[in-house]
Amino acid sequence: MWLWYQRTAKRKINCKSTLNTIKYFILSNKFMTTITFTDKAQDRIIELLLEEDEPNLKLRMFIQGGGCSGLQYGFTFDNEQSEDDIEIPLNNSSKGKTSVLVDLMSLNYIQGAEVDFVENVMGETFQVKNPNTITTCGCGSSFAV
Amino acid sequence: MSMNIEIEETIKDRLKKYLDELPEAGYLAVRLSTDGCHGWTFEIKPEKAKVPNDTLFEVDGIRFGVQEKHSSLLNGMQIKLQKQGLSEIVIFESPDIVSRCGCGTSVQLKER
Repeated sequence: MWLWYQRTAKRKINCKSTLNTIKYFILSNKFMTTITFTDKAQDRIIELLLEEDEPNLKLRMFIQGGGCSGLQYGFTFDNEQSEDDIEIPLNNSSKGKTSVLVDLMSLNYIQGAEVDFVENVMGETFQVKNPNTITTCGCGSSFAV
Repeated sequence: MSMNIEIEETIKDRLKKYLDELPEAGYLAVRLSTDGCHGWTFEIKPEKAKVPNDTLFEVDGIRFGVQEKHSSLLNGMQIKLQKQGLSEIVIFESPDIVSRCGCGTSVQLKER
């Protein structure tokens, strides 16, 4: 009996389950907000996905170094999901449902951010309101935490 | 007044759409300001009626206006659409531009 218990315990403490525990903690913890997408942003993301016409495609949001303030937001389409990705469901659009992928490292820098889609005469842009930033560059695409 | 400006085909419709929302005396004003990290920032702003000191001109059927003191800086510009990831922004391009900031909204102009 003791041996059996030890074996299961060992099996449980592997990399995969640790990641799953962290993911579960983030998703279930009400005090830890993830990222919100405004209705306009949700509509536009789904429109863009429909244009690509690939069923498994999802939007990935990430953080990369660059820009005049040090860090930059990145958006890309991805049909591969990795182990340390968090899925943020988008349910508010009348055009369909999807989810946005964010890896845990990037999520660290954009915890609690709001993504909006702004359309005006100067163009169509996704804008991120991020409570973690101390400075942002003029156009808002680069920031420092 | 004649102004030598080129507008990329892809954004003509977009500019016309915003112009159509304006009253007949309205136009798209190109505003130059000295903020942004590279010196000059170009912005297109719809105006409902003529603003003092604005020179009006037309390019490909689109009514534009610019402050008289800035008209020489605007002359020779190309208005283009730049895709950045999932976003699209309107940028101004010319041989007079020495450098621009990462997102393209702020530019440094050659001294004249």
